[in-house]
Formats: sequence, structure tokens, C-alpha cells
Amino acid sequence: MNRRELLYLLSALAGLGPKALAQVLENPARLYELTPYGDATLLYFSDLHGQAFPHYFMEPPNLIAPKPLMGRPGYLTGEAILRYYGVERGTPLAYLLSYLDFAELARAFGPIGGLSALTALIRQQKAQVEAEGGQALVLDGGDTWTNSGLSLLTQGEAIVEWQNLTGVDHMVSHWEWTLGRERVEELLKRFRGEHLAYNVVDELFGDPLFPAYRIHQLGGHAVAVVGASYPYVRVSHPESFTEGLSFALDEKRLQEAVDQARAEGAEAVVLLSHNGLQLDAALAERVRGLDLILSGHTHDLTPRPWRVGKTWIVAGSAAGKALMRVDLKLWKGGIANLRVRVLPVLSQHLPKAEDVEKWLQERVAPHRPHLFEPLAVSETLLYKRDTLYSTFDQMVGEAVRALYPEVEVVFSPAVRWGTTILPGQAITRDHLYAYTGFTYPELYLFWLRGAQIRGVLEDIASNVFSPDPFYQQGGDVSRTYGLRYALDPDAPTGRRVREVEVGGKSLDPNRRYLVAAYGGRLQRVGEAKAGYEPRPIYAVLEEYLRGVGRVKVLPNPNVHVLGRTYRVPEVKG
Amino acid sequence: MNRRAFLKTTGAALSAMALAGFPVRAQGLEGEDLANLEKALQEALGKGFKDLTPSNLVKLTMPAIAESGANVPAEVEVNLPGGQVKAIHLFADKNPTPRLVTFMPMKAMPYYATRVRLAETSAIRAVVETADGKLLLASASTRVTVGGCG
Repeated sequence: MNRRELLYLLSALAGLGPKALAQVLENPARLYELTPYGDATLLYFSDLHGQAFPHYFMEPPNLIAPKPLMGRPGYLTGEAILRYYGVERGTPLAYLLSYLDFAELARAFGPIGGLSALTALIRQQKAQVEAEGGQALVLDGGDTWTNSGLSLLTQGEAIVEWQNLTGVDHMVSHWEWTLGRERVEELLKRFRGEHLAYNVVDELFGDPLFPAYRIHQLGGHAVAVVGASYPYVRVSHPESFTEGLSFALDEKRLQEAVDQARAEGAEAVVLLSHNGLQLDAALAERVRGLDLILSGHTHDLTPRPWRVGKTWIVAGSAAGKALMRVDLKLWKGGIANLRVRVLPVLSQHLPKAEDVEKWLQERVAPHRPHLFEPLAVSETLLYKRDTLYSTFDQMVGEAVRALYPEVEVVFSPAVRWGTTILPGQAITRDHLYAYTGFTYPELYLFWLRGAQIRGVLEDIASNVFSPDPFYQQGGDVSRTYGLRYALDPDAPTGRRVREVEVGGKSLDPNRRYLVAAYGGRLQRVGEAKAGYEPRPIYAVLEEYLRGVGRVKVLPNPNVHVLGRTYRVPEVKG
Repeated sequence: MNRRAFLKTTGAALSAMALAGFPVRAQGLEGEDLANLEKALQEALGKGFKDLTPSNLVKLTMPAIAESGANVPAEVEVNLPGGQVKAIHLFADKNPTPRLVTFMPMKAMPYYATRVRLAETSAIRAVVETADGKLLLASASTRVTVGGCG
């Protein structure tokens, strides 16, 4: 890359305001024209969550860290993340990275993602690399098949078709397994790429189901791609989906896979991982011989690689926001250097892959009226991602309460996936699936004692705020409605949650409370409410939205965080 | 974009941001219950927690987070010659009956892998009885969660 081009790209992505960008966008292709670098190219995305159409996605206003991990990638938001990566406010990269000015930037730059734009970008990059005599691998970090309307309506099949049209070389997995083991195995037969996992094994005998790695000859060097699927599939979802399997984190087995790949001649080893950024950083310190980790699951975006020990880490963004282009300079011992570029999938400004667009339109045609019928209009910004609270989850609480007024506390799972609805935008079923597209969507009503509620909140807090990444599991903190508490992230386990109140009164450990929850396993602890038949949360939301016609959710965070500044985004835009 | 910001961004691939100071493993053991453990130790060994010597000759490997409390893999390696280890015991502080298992390696390699059942998040103890009557200890902690946040 020459100096002029470099200056141009950087200024276009990170330095220009919307006005200057408009000029760039007259010829948007230039944004994505990169000069050759190194010996091999990896085109990497992760956590697409089946999002087939361009949509909006706001990054979390807060990512609250345990004290020892504060300031690290994965816990940076708002102004801090812009400062860390040297990105100016109001630029395309700021739109991708930060919640600041979200509604305004969303209107200026348009929606992100969508299958046909992402394919077009992947193909264009691959063609560019190949035209210059290089080779590129397309790597998919998992959480690709599920959690959208198109995915649910085709049980994941449509997304596998897309992967094949796009030419994905390798993938790892997590939410895929919520389609059930049988369906996953069926779809993997149709997948033309290869699923890699060192850690998906038979529960009893430890036999692996998939190859742990594959060695590719790239630019005259042997590069191994090792796969790590999510280690907590069994803990996070109903076990019935994965009978007989184990996904457990196993450092020894991972080390063996890396050593074996090297013994077979791999010069560089890349871990395609769905462990999440913090766990990957911890593993980088302990597993020898990993040159690069492509890190999914926690939906982070790292415009600059993170170096931990001798390992580089690059996160894969989410929701179809960005394609990460990682160019490797290789030598005998591994990766000598690398170049990382965030290629934003600004769908309005990218060409569409016509065959994919045509396929998608055909695929979605029978479902179009169902998916895109407006159910209500949102007057305010509905977002999902945050450590503790979101306006979408507040709306869920309000909806459940409106339909079942006897419910005292609503639990809403803090998955990282979802979408964002701008002020004035109509809410459709496609949006509801993007937020709540579980294969186990039932809303349960059940009784829990006060002490149990407290225990659950502590349990969740310890999963999220453990300073040791090996003890962190799952998503953000489950959202609650009807309940308020103070949270001390730095307190020892068992003492993080304080002053719990339900309906304005102090939580009584011995009293029974009527709780509503979905997308988890909490209902197993309680006693089901007699006479209530569980129904999908998206059906509940639909009924509520149709009834009210308009929603206006003003942020009212119910968790008081001790020792941290908690930020609430502008929602009226 | 100013020069500083520019340099910072360009540094991208080149600069390696090594963040020093990784947190050490969680301070204190999660799921510790010495009172409950004490009873079981007395019953099994006729000795108490204070009679155990923490030793890095004993390596106890447990998952940080169990996939299922009903079936948790546990592994003990003792860095002593075969014949010098009389017995390997496993205890879980929080289990109603903390003693999980006892293994007598006899002359075999002092290595033992098994699966244990944990009632809840608990500290796990490997207690190694040596031929010369010492009680060596290694501890770990395994979290058993209700789960449900993907």
C-alpha cells in the first residue's frame, strides 16, 4: 500500500465527517480497494445471527468490566473506544464502533449488513487478492445460522445456502446447536465448507466429531486453521439439543491440536474461535504456538489487533456490520506481521451480489407478508446490547406486564444478538425474530421465592463480573423488569447484589413472587403457574404491539451500579 | 484527523499492544465451605483441614465451569513415584456428603481420572495420603450454574 492510498483509506474510514464522506461515497469502491500486503489473506466475519437484510445495530452504551479487566478491548464503549482506536466522532468507523450519535449516523450512513452486500464485499476482496496472485480464506466465526426470521422459517437452511453461495471455507459454532444435534449434522452435510472444532466430542468417550484443524498452503507457506466452538453450549441452552456431546474448554486438547498441526508442517497457526474475547486473551497466555486468534462470540470490533504474549487477537464484529480483512506476512516460524482492516458493510453504498439478491428474494418471497408487516411504530430508539439494561428489554417487561398484570418480575435474557430500531421506524415480525428468535422461545410464568430470585441475580453477576475469564460464561446480565437493585461489580461472589426491591418494596426472601421468563432455564427452578400455557415471546410481543400501535420507551435503568458511571443513550433522535 | 490520531491508527498492524498484568486466578476459592469439609475429613481420615499440606506435587484439574453438575470430569496427578502414594481422596466442600471418591493406586502410577457429581458451585480438594503418612492437598473450584444467558 502506498502512502497516498493509506492516507486516503484511513481518512475515509476514521477521519471524515458525513459531508466529506458523501464525496467518497460517490465512488464507494475506493473505500474497499486495498493494496496487496503479505503472503496470505483471511476474510473473517463472525456472529451474523442469520441477519439476512440490511438493518441497524447500535453498540452497547456500557460494557461494565470487573476492575482488573477495565480498559481492555472488549470493555470499551462510547468515547473511550473511539479514543482507544483513534477514531473521530461522526465517521463511518465511529458509527460501527460506538453508540454515540447513533440515530443521526444511522440516517447519514444507512443500514449495515445484509447477505447480498456481505457476499459482494467478500467476493470483491477475494478477487482483488487473487488478481494480485494471492490467496484468501473465508472464515466464519459461528453464530451464523440462527436467531432471525429467515433462519427460523427455514430451520437454518437458507443461511447454509448463503454460506455456500459465498464460499465460506471454515466455520465454528455455538447457537447453531440450538437447532438440535440432528439438524446440525444434516445441515453440515450440505455445507460445502468445513466445520472445525477441537472441543466438540462424544461425552462418554471423548471422540471428536470434527477435525480440529486443517492446513492450507497459502502464498508458499503452510497455515493451520484450528477451530474452537463455544465451550458452554451445554450450560447455556436446554441440554436436549446436544444429548451425548461435550463442548468443554480443554486447554490440554487444544495444545495437542496446535502441536500436532505444527508437527505436520504448519508454519503459522490461526485459531478460529467462538470463545469470546476475554477467554481468548486468557488462552493466548497459556497455549503455546498460537500466532493469531480470530475471536467471536462477544461481538467486539477491534480495528487494531490486540497483542497478548506472542499471539495477535482480532475480533470479528457482529450482525453483518463488518468484514475483517487480515493480511498475513508469513515466515518459517509463523506470522511475521499482519495488517488488519475493518471493511464496513454499509449496504447502501456497496454493490449487491446479484445472484445472492435474487436467491434471497426467492427464498423470502413466501414469508414476505409475515416478516415485514408493520405491527407498531416505535417513537424511540429500541436497542438491545448493554451489560445491564436496554430499551428493548424494558419494552418486553412492559408488554408482559400489560398482558399478564399479575406478573411481578420479568426476566429477559441478555443475549448479545438483536437489532436496533430507530425512532419513527415500524416494528415488524422480522425485528421481533431478530431480538427473540430462539428455537426455544416460550415465555414461562412461575413462582420463585425471594431468596431464589436473589440467588439467581448473584449467580448471573458472578458469571459476568468474575475477574478470571475462565469463570465467565454466557452473555451480559439478564434484564429484569419490576425489580430494582444495586450492583457492586467489585464485591466478592455472593455479595455483588444489594438492596433488591420488587414493586417498590424490599425483596422478602420467604415470599413467593410470580416471575415471567423466556430464553433460559430459570423456569426449572420455580413452580409453574397453574393454568398458564407457555407461548412464544414473539407472539406475546406481537399481541402487545398490535394493541398499542405505538411504543415509546424512555430509558429507566433498574440497576444502580456502584463505582462506575452508567451511561444512557439518547433515544429520541 | 490530526497527526497523532493518524499515527495511532496506522500503527495498527505494526504496533503490538501487550497489556501487562493479567489477573491472577480468582482470589479465594469459590464455593469454599470449610465447616462442612472438616466433618468429612475427620470421618474419612481422622484428620482436619489444618493437617493438610498444600503441595504442588499434586495437580488437580477441574473445569472452571461444569457442563453439568451431575457429571464433572476430575483429574489428579501426583508427581511422586508409584508405591509412595497410599491413597487419593476427592472432596467437594459444598456437597451434602463432601467425600466423593477414594482411589488406592497401590504400585501403579499415582494418576486418577474420574467423574464426580457436584450439588452446586464448590471448592474441590484432592487429598493425597503418602506412604510416609503425609497428607498433601490441592484445591480447585468448579462453578455449577443455573445457566441460561447465552
